[in-house]
Amino acid sequence: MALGVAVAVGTALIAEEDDGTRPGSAPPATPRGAATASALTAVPSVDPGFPSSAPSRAPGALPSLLARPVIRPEQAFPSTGVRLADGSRYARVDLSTTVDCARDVPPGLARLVDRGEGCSRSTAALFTDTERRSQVTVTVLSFTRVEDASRVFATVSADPVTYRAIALDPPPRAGLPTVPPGSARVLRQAMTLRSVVFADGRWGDGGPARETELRARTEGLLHRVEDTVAAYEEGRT
Amino acid sequence: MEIWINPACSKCRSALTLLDAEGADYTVRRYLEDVPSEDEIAAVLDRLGLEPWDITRTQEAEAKELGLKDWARDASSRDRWITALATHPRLIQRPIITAEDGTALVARTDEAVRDALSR
Repeated sequence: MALGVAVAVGTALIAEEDDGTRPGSAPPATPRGAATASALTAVPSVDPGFPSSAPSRAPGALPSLLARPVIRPEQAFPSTGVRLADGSRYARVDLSTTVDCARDVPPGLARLVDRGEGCSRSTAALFTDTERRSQVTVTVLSFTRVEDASRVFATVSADPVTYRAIALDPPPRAGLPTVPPGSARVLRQAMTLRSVVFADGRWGDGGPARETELRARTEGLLHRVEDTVAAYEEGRT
Repeated sequence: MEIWINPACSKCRSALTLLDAEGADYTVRRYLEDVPSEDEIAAVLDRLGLEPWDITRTQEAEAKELGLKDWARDASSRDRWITALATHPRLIQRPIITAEDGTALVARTDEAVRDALSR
Protein backbone atom coordinates (compact mmCIF):
# COMPACT_ATOMS: atom_id res chain seq x y z
CA MET A 1 0.00 0.00 0.00
CA ALA A 2 1.59 3.23 -1.04
CA LEU A 3 1.77 6.10 1.38
CA GLY A 4 1.75 9.70 0.44
CA VAL A 5 4.49 10.51 2.92
CA ALA A 6 7.96 9.02 2.88
CA VAL A 7 9.69 8.64 6.24
CA ALA A 8 13.44 8.97 6.27
CA VAL A 9 15.50 6.35 8.02
CA GLY A 10 19.14 7.11 7.51
CA THR A 11 19.33 7.15 3.76
CA ALA A 12 16.62 4.53 3.52
CA LEU A 13 13.14 5.75 2.85
CA ILE A 14 9.83 4.23 3.70
CA ALA A 15 8.35 4.59 0.28
CA GLU A 16 5.83 1.86 0.71
CA GLU A 17 4.06 0.65 3.80
CA ASP A 18 2.45 -2.68 4.48
CA ASP A 19 -0.51 -2.38 6.82
CA GLY A 20 -1.39 -6.03 6.62
CA THR A 21 -4.53 -5.47 4.58
CA ARG A 22 -3.11 -6.88 1.40
CA PRO A 23 -4.46 -10.21 0.21
CA GLY A 24 -1.04 -11.62 0.99
CA SER A 25 -1.47 -10.81 4.64
CA ALA A 26 -4.65 -12.77 5.19
CA PRO A 27 -4.80 -14.47 8.56
CA PRO A 28 -3.31 -17.95 8.72
CA ALA A 29 -5.60 -20.94 8.63
CA THR A 30 -4.40 -22.04 12.04
CA PRO A 31 -5.13 -19.84 15.07
CA ARG A 32 -2.11 -17.76 15.97
CA GLY A 33 -0.15 -19.11 18.89
CA ALA A 34 -0.73 -22.73 18.02
CA ALA A 35 2.73 -22.80 16.55
CA THR A 36 4.52 -20.04 18.35
CA ALA A 37 7.16 -20.25 21.03
CA SER A 38 9.16 -17.67 22.83
CA ALA A 39 11.99 -16.80 25.17
CA LEU A 40 13.47 -13.74 26.77
CA THR A 41 17.17 -13.49 27.38
CA ALA A 42 19.67 -12.42 28.88
CA VAL A 43 17.89 -14.36 31.61
CA PRO A 44 16.90 -17.30 29.42
CA SER A 45 13.36 -18.40 29.92
CA VAL A 46 10.45 -19.79 27.97
CA ASP A 47 7.16 -17.98 28.23
CA PRO A 48 4.56 -20.58 29.24
CA GLY A 49 1.94 -18.41 27.63
CA PHE A 50 3.17 -19.49 24.24
CA PRO A 51 2.55 -23.16 23.47
CA SER A 52 5.50 -24.72 21.70
CA SER A 53 3.81 -27.49 19.80
CA ALA A 54 4.24 -27.71 16.07
CA PRO A 55 1.21 -26.93 13.96
CA SER A 56 -1.08 -29.78 13.08
CA ARG A 57 -2.37 -28.33 9.86
CA ALA A 58 -2.02 -30.79 7.03
CA PRO A 59 -3.97 -29.53 4.05
CA GLY A 60 -5.20 -32.11 1.63
CA ALA A 61 -3.49 -30.11 -1.07
CA LEU A 62 -0.14 -30.49 0.65
CA PRO A 63 1.73 -32.12 -2.25
CA SER A 64 0.76 -29.37 -4.65
CA LEU A 65 1.55 -26.69 -2.11
CA LEU A 66 4.99 -28.18 -1.54
CA ALA A 67 5.56 -28.25 -5.26
CA ARG A 68 5.69 -24.45 -5.19
CA PRO A 69 9.10 -22.85 -4.75
CA VAL A 70 9.93 -21.76 -1.22
CA ILE A 71 9.08 -18.17 -0.49
CA ARG A 72 11.44 -15.58 -1.90
CA PRO A 73 12.79 -12.54 -0.02
CA GLU A 74 10.57 -10.04 -1.79
CA GLN A 75 7.54 -12.20 -1.00
CA ALA A 76 8.37 -12.70 2.67
CA PHE A 77 9.30 -9.05 3.18
CA PRO A 78 7.38 -7.21 0.47
CA SER A 79 7.54 -3.68 1.89
CA THR A 80 10.14 -1.36 3.30
CA GLY A 81 7.59 -0.07 5.79
CA VAL A 82 5.25 -1.99 8.06
CA ARG A 83 2.28 -0.71 10.04
CA LEU A 84 0.85 -3.06 12.63
CA ALA A 85 -2.73 -3.20 13.87
CA ASP A 86 -1.81 -1.27 17.01
CA GLY A 87 -0.70 1.64 14.84
CA SER A 88 3.03 1.14 15.40
CA ARG A 89 5.23 1.59 12.36
CA TYR A 90 8.53 0.05 11.39
CA ALA A 91 11.10 0.53 8.69
CA ARG A 92 12.96 -2.37 7.16
CA VAL A 93 16.56 -1.21 7.14
CA ASP A 94 18.28 -4.35 5.91
CA LEU A 95 17.49 -7.54 4.05
CA SER A 96 19.74 -10.52 3.54
CA THR A 97 19.12 -13.89 1.90
CA THR A 98 21.01 -17.05 1.09
CA VAL A 99 20.31 -20.58 -0.04
CA ASP A 100 23.13 -21.78 2.22
CA CYS A 101 21.08 -21.54 5.39
CA ALA A 102 23.70 -23.04 7.67
CA ARG A 103 26.21 -20.39 6.71
CA ASP A 104 24.35 -17.49 8.30
CA VAL A 105 23.24 -19.05 11.56
CA PRO A 106 25.10 -20.04 14.74
CA PRO A 107 26.68 -23.51 14.80
CA GLY A 108 23.93 -25.15 16.87
CA LEU A 109 21.17 -24.08 14.54
CA ALA A 110 23.39 -24.83 11.53
CA ARG A 111 23.71 -28.47 12.56
CA LEU A 112 19.99 -28.63 13.09
CA VAL A 113 18.98 -27.21 9.72
CA ASP A 114 21.47 -29.37 7.85
CA ARG A 115 19.74 -32.60 8.85
CA GLY A 116 17.10 -34.23 6.70
CA GLU A 117 16.82 -32.67 3.29
CA GLY A 118 17.85 -29.40 4.79
CA CYS A 119 16.89 -25.80 4.46
CA SER A 120 16.24 -24.28 1.04
CA ARG A 121 16.47 -20.58 1.81
CA SER A 122 17.19 -18.27 4.71
CA THR A 123 16.06 -14.66 4.58
CA ALA A 124 16.52 -12.12 7.36
CA ALA A 125 15.27 -8.57 7.66
CA LEU A 126 16.09 -5.93 10.25
CA PHE A 127 13.34 -3.56 11.36
CA THR A 128 13.39 -0.46 13.50
CA ASP A 129 10.56 1.69 14.82
CA THR A 130 9.95 5.29 13.84
CA GLU A 131 11.86 6.51 16.89
CA ARG A 132 14.69 4.15 15.99
CA ARG A 133 14.92 2.72 19.48
CA SER A 134 14.27 -0.96 18.86
CA GLN A 135 15.89 -3.38 16.46
CA VAL A 136 13.99 -6.51 15.52
CA THR A 137 15.45 -9.12 13.19
CA VAL A 138 12.95 -11.49 11.60
CA THR A 139 14.43 -14.56 9.93
CA VAL A 140 12.57 -17.03 7.73
CA LEU A 141 14.09 -20.49 7.25
CA SER A 142 12.21 -22.40 4.56
CA PHE A 143 12.52 -26.14 4.14
CA THR A 144 11.88 -28.57 1.34
CA ARG A 145 10.00 -30.92 3.62
CA VAL A 146 7.38 -30.16 6.23
CA GLU A 147 8.89 -32.70 8.61
CA ASP A 148 12.23 -30.89 8.58
CA ALA A 149 10.54 -27.61 9.43
CA SER A 150 8.59 -29.34 12.21
CA ARG A 151 11.70 -30.92 13.65
CA VAL A 152 13.59 -27.64 13.66
CA PHE A 153 10.66 -25.79 15.17
CA ALA A 154 10.23 -28.37 17.94
CA THR A 155 13.90 -28.24 18.84
CA VAL A 156 14.08 -24.47 18.73
CA SER A 157 10.95 -24.19 20.86
CA ALA A 158 12.53 -26.41 23.50
CA ASP A 159 15.71 -24.32 23.62
CA PRO A 160 15.21 -21.02 21.82
CA VAL A 161 18.33 -19.47 23.28
CA THR A 162 20.73 -22.13 22.03
CA TYR A 163 19.03 -22.40 18.65
CA ARG A 164 18.34 -18.77 17.93
CA ALA A 165 18.99 -17.18 14.57
CA ILE A 166 21.51 -14.38 14.21
CA ALA A 167 20.33 -10.83 14.77
CA LEU A 168 21.50 -8.54 11.98
CA ASP A 169 23.74 -5.62 12.78
CA PRO A 170 22.38 -2.44 11.22
CA PRO A 171 24.17 -1.33 8.06
CA PRO A 172 25.98 2.02 8.31
CA ARG A 173 23.44 3.72 6.04
CA ALA A 174 20.72 3.04 8.62
CA GLY A 175 22.44 5.28 11.14
CA LEU A 176 21.57 2.94 13.99
CA PRO A 177 23.88 1.76 16.76
CA THR A 178 25.13 -1.79 16.86
CA VAL A 179 23.46 -3.38 19.86
CA PRO A 180 26.11 -4.28 22.46
CA PRO A 181 26.83 -7.99 22.79
CA GLY A 182 25.09 -9.72 25.67
CA SER A 183 22.15 -7.35 25.61
CA ALA A 184 18.71 -8.43 26.76
CA ARG A 185 16.55 -9.70 23.93
CA VAL A 186 13.13 -11.10 23.24
CA LEU A 187 13.11 -14.28 21.18
CA ARG A 188 10.03 -15.59 19.45
CA GLN A 189 9.45 -18.34 16.91
CA ALA A 190 6.56 -19.48 14.77
CA MET A 191 6.03 -22.16 12.18
CA THR A 192 4.12 -22.01 8.93
CA LEU A 193 3.61 -24.86 6.52
CA ARG A 194 7.27 -25.35 5.63
CA SER A 195 9.07 -22.44 7.26
CA VAL A 196 10.24 -21.52 10.72
CA VAL A 197 10.09 -17.80 11.46
CA PHE A 198 12.35 -16.34 14.14
CA ALA A 199 12.11 -12.90 15.71
CA ASP A 200 14.85 -11.37 17.84
CA GLY A 201 14.03 -8.02 19.42
CA ARG A 202 16.45 -5.75 21.25
CA TRP A 203 16.63 -2.13 22.27
CA GLY A 204 19.29 -0.24 20.40
CA ASP A 205 21.02 0.71 23.62
CA GLY A 206 21.02 -2.90 24.73
CA GLY A 207 19.05 -2.13 27.85
CA PRO A 208 16.55 -4.47 29.53
CA ALA A 209 13.92 -1.80 30.14
CA ARG A 210 10.33 -1.86 28.91
CA GLU A 211 10.27 -5.58 28.32
CA THR A 212 6.54 -5.64 27.68
CA GLU A 213 6.87 -3.03 24.96
CA LEU A 214 9.77 -4.83 23.33
CA ARG A 215 7.87 -8.09 23.48
CA ALA A 216 4.86 -6.53 21.77
CA ARG A 217 7.01 -5.13 18.98
CA THR A 218 8.84 -8.39 18.47
CA GLU A 219 5.67 -10.45 18.42
CA GLY A 220 3.91 -7.97 16.17
CA LEU A 221 6.60 -8.17 13.52
CA LEU A 222 6.90 -11.93 13.90
CA HIS A 223 3.21 -12.38 13.30
CA ARG A 224 3.13 -10.01 10.37
CA VAL A 225 5.83 -12.02 8.62
CA GLU A 226 4.29 -15.28 9.75
CA ASP A 227 0.98 -14.24 8.17
CA THR A 228 2.68 -13.29 4.93
CA VAL A 229 4.66 -16.51 4.70
CA ALA A 230 1.65 -18.65 5.66
CA ALA A 231 -0.54 -17.00 3.04
CA TYR A 232 2.02 -17.81 0.36
CA GLU A 233 2.70 -21.35 1.49
CA GLU A 234 -0.97 -22.17 1.86
CA GLY A 235 -1.64 -21.01 -1.67
CA ARG A 236 -3.67 -17.97 -0.69
CA THR A 237 -1.40 -15.63 -2.63
CA MET B 1 41.39 -16.98 -0.42
CA GLU B 2 40.10 -16.27 3.07
CA ILE B 3 37.23 -14.02 4.06
CA TRP B 4 36.82 -12.60 7.54
CA ILE B 5 33.16 -12.24 8.36
CA ASN B 6 30.69 -11.46 11.08
CA PRO B 7 27.52 -13.36 10.17
CA ALA B 8 25.40 -10.55 11.62
CA CYS B 9 26.74 -8.29 8.88
CA SER B 10 24.64 -8.30 5.73
CA LYS B 11 27.53 -7.09 3.60
CA CYS B 12 29.46 -10.17 4.72
CA ARG B 13 26.53 -12.34 3.74
CA SER B 14 26.29 -10.61 0.38
CA ALA B 15 30.00 -11.13 -0.21
CA LEU B 16 29.69 -14.84 0.51
CA THR B 17 26.71 -15.12 -1.80
CA LEU B 18 28.68 -13.49 -4.58
CA LEU B 19 31.72 -15.69 -3.96
CA ASP B 20 29.44 -18.73 -4.18
CA ALA B 21 27.82 -17.45 -7.34
CA GLU B 22 31.24 -17.02 -8.88
CA GLY B 23 32.30 -20.50 -7.80
CA ALA B 24 35.16 -19.19 -5.70
CA ASP B 25 37.19 -21.45 -3.46
CA TYR B 26 37.46 -19.73 -0.12
CA THR B 27 37.72 -20.23 3.62
CA VAL B 28 35.42 -18.43 6.03
CA ARG B 29 36.85 -17.04 9.23
CA ARG B 30 34.29 -15.88 11.78
CA TYR B 31 36.64 -13.45 13.40
CA LEU B 32 34.47 -12.76 16.45
CA GLU B 33 34.82 -16.41 17.44
CA ASP B 34 38.24 -17.11 15.94
CA VAL B 35 39.82 -13.83 16.95
CA PRO B 36 42.91 -12.83 14.97
CA SER B 37 46.08 -12.19 16.91
CA GLU B 38 47.95 -8.92 16.78
CA ASP B 39 50.45 -10.52 14.40
CA GLU B 40 47.66 -11.68 12.11
CA ILE B 41 46.09 -8.24 12.10
CA ALA B 42 49.44 -6.65 11.35
CA ALA B 43 49.96 -9.09 8.49
CA VAL B 44 46.52 -8.35 7.02
CA LEU B 45 47.18 -4.63 7.30
CA ASP B 46 50.36 -5.11 5.31
CA ARG B 47 48.39 -6.98 2.67
CA LEU B 48 45.69 -4.30 2.67
CA GLY B 49 48.21 -1.50 2.50
CA LEU B 50 46.24 0.28 5.22
CA GLU B 51 46.73 1.52 8.74
CA PRO B 52 44.80 0.03 11.67
CA TRP B 53 42.61 3.11 12.05
CA ASP B 54 41.58 2.69 8.43
CA ILE B 55 39.86 -0.62 9.24
CA THR B 56 38.46 0.38 12.63
CA ARG B 57 34.73 0.70 13.08
CA THR B 58 34.82 3.90 15.05
CA GLN B 59 31.06 4.13 15.46
CA GLU B 60 30.88 0.98 17.56
CA ALA B 61 30.08 1.40 21.23
CA GLU B 62 33.40 -0.17 22.16
CA ALA B 63 35.22 2.44 20.11
CA LYS B 64 33.49 5.18 22.01
CA GLU B 65 34.26 3.53 25.32
CA LEU B 66 37.92 3.39 24.36
CA GLY B 67 37.85 6.99 23.17
CA LEU B 68 39.34 6.02 19.83
CA LYS B 69 38.45 9.30 18.20
CA ASP B 70 41.04 10.95 20.40
CA TRP B 71 43.80 8.45 19.71
CA ALA B 72 46.70 9.63 17.61
CA ARG B 73 46.90 8.21 14.12
CA ASP B 74 50.63 7.99 13.60
CA ALA B 75 53.39 5.43 13.52
CA SER B 76 53.99 5.60 17.24
CA SER B 77 50.35 4.70 17.93
CA ARG B 78 50.05 1.92 15.40
CA ASP B 79 50.69 -0.91 17.84
CA ARG B 80 48.15 0.48 20.26
CA TRP B 81 45.48 0.44 17.57
CA ILE B 82 46.37 -3.10 16.57
CA THR B 83 46.12 -4.21 20.18
CA ALA B 84 42.69 -2.62 20.39
CA LEU B 85 41.53 -4.50 17.30
CA ALA B 86 42.82 -7.82 18.64
CA THR B 87 41.22 -7.19 22.01
CA HIS B 88 37.94 -5.89 20.60
CA PRO B 89 37.43 -7.72 17.30
CA ARG B 90 34.02 -6.08 16.81
CA LEU B 91 36.02 -3.01 15.90
CA ILE B 92 37.46 -4.69 12.81
CA GLN B 93 35.85 -3.58 9.55
CA ARG B 94 34.32 -6.42 7.58
CA PRO B 95 34.37 -8.34 5.39
CA ILE B 96 38.06 -8.56 4.63
CA ILE B 97 39.19 -10.82 1.80
CA THR B 98 42.75 -11.99 1.46
CA ALA B 99 43.30 -12.62 -2.23
CA GLU B 100 45.39 -15.24 -3.97
CA ASP B 101 48.03 -12.74 -5.07
CA GLY B 102 48.95 -11.86 -1.51
CA THR B 103 46.96 -8.66 -1.31
CA ALA B 104 43.78 -8.07 0.66
CA LEU B 105 40.84 -5.72 0.55
CA VAL B 106 37.82 -4.63 2.50
CA ALA B 107 35.03 -6.05 0.36
CA ARG B 108 31.96 -4.01 1.22
CA THR B 109 30.69 -3.82 -2.36
CA ASP B 110 30.14 -6.35 -5.12
CA GLU B 111 32.79 -4.56 -7.12
CA ALA B 112 35.32 -5.09 -4.36
CA VAL B 113 34.48 -8.78 -4.13
CA ARG B 114 34.93 -9.15 -7.88
CA ASP B 115 38.17 -7.25 -7.59
CA ALA B 116 39.37 -9.79 -5.03
CA LEU B 117 38.37 -12.63 -7.34
CA SER B 118 40.34 -11.14 -10.19
CA ARG B 119 43.57 -10.89 -8.24
